[in-house]
Amino acid sequence: MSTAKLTNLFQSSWLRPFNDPALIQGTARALNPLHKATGIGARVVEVITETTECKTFVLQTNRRWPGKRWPGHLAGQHTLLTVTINGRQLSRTFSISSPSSTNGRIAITVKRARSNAKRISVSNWMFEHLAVGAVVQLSAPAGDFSLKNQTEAKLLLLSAGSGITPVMAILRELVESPGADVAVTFVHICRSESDFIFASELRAVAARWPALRLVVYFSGTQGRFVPARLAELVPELSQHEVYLCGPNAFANAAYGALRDAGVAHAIHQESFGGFTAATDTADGTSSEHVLTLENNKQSFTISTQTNLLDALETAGLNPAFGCRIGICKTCQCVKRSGVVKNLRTGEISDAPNELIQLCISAPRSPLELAI
Amino acid sequence: MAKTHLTTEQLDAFGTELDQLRNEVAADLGARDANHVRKMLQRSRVSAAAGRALLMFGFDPITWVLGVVALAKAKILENMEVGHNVLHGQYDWMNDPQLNSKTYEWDIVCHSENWKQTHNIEHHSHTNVLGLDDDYGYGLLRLAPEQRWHTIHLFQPISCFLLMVYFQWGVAIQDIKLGRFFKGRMTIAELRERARPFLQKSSRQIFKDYVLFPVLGFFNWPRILLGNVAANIIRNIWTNVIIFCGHFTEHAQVYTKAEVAGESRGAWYLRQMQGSSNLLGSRYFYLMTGHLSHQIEHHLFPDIPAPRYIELAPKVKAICEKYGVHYNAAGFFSQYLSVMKRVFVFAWPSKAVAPVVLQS
Repeated sequence: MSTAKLTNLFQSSWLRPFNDPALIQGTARALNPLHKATGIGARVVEVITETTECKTFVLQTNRRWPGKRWPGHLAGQHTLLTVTINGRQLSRTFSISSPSSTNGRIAITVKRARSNAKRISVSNWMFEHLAVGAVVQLSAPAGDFSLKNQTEAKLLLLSAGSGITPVMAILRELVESPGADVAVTFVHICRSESDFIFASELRAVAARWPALRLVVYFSGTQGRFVPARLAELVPELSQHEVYLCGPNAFANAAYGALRDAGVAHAIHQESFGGFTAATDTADGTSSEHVLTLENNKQSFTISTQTNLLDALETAGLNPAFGCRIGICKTCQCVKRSGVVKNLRTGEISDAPNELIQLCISAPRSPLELAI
Repeated sequence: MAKTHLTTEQLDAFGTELDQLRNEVAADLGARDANHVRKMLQRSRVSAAAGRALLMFGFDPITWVLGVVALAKAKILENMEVGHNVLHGQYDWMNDPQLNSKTYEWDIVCHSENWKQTHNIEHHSHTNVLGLDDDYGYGLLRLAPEQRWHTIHLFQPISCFLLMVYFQWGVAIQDIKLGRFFKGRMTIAELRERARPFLQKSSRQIFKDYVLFPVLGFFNWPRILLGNVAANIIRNIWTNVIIFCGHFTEHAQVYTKAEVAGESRGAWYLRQMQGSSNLLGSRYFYLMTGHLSHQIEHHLFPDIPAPRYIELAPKVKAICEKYGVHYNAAGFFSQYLSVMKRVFVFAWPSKAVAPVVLQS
């Protein structure tokens, strides 16, 4: 009998409850909290305070529970981290700030977000409550922003604010890989010395590794950074391969400036995404957003004034529905990204992968739904 | 007891007060509720394991009885406090895929998808509306004078007893709508299609309880088989009597389609309140009913975690008193007796009573 057939036999629903995944995982988790039902369990082994607003969490991923081990990551990739905050499983994507490793130990660096009353911020909660010994859940690492494609000898690492985290992973990888024949310019923009994440480590590396030239720009004292000035800061700018990460507005401006300066090589860009207040429409005024469906990538325009169930039906789809007044949850689905308002409670859902009820949700930003 | 009617303004204020009550609890949901449902799931799993082990490895009648009790308790807890409540989406806010109404499957022959259709949608939206809420009498029983009498209703004390013993099968086939097939309003192909989830789920349940576990017990198989049958029947009887006390008690009102046409949210709340009835008892009793002891609160707020109904009850009762609505709550025996009274009284033909005309 082939392995596939055996696997099918072992997973057959006729063998319940002996092969019930929920039961097995529940039992495994009762024995060791690192045995997560879904995703990869990881324990916080060290918390490093980087700045007054920023902490690094060193995580030891699960090594024993088969099938749920950390597969290893490339420098610059990210992971979807899930924590349980007051009974709710909330997820947020974080760049991994440590270089690739084989011992299943990774670091993520988290900056406290500006406080937004009432809504739970995963970053703020982690900053305030996540301590050594706590268990979190990770997804397998993902993302194209990594060193694997490096072709050029001259590298420009360009970051702003907390955008330094994936870029730092890349720098650490370069420092650790022996005999790397590269010249690296690291340009980092942040408000002030006290906001400079990884300051001492970066300066120490720059002092002992001649290949690194470090340029730090404090916008608090030197004024707003103008990306066109990159050509002054980086000699032979056009010859560089670029790794770029920072707030959307900065990253877009920098990308334009780099192309204007004649950079012909690859510009790798990592976006932290997120919707700004500008995309949020005040109630009462009608506007339209683009709704994308995950499965068939179909997309259409919908009004902020109608609920998603009506909008989908108007567009000719037949999503499952029940009571249409928000009690039966038949129309519930996973919102991959975007912001919706619950018309019954007034709650705003803005985190990725949250469950929403179509019949009582109205769009407040472009959306992607798992339908 | 006559139905209470409220004016449009009163209904709006009434609805707003209940909405506010719901929002207060919804905003307070947290680790306490999450820990509770996880604890209940674990307790039911431990109880099931203990019960099955006692049946499998014991030899004497005492361990048999203990095994049956433990397994029946496990099934009651899993079906009522975990399954029913999770399938209502009461714990969807936890974002835990294993406690989500979309994915959860419970230890009963009724397929969760069928249940969500007949129970969450049809029964909870149209509670006690004759002709729309199939749970009112389950298509077998005549419980109110407004229902038309047929000769078959003479035997309803017997059909009521059979429904109690085989309750899981009753709810399992409800969504197939066999009545439509027998009236010639459904083709055989459609019937086969509709019955598929039921056949799939129930065959696995039968295999598990009546083949797999007995076979694993070798020579002990008759003991296990009988024990599993007994546990399933105890669960059937318990869930049946508790559920019958929810909507068929003496003061639980019924509605006609005409009465509920175009009803407002306030009127919907009022119907849920007057169509449901509570049971009074200890905390342990409430738990073992899956908090269906608080049927009124459950019908007002079906997606609020059930243990919260206990703290909501005095507030709901206060709103009832404020608007002069009868709050139907009494002990288990008096409520169940009043249900049985309906079963026996309406087995005989009686004149249909014209529906009460709305005042406003």
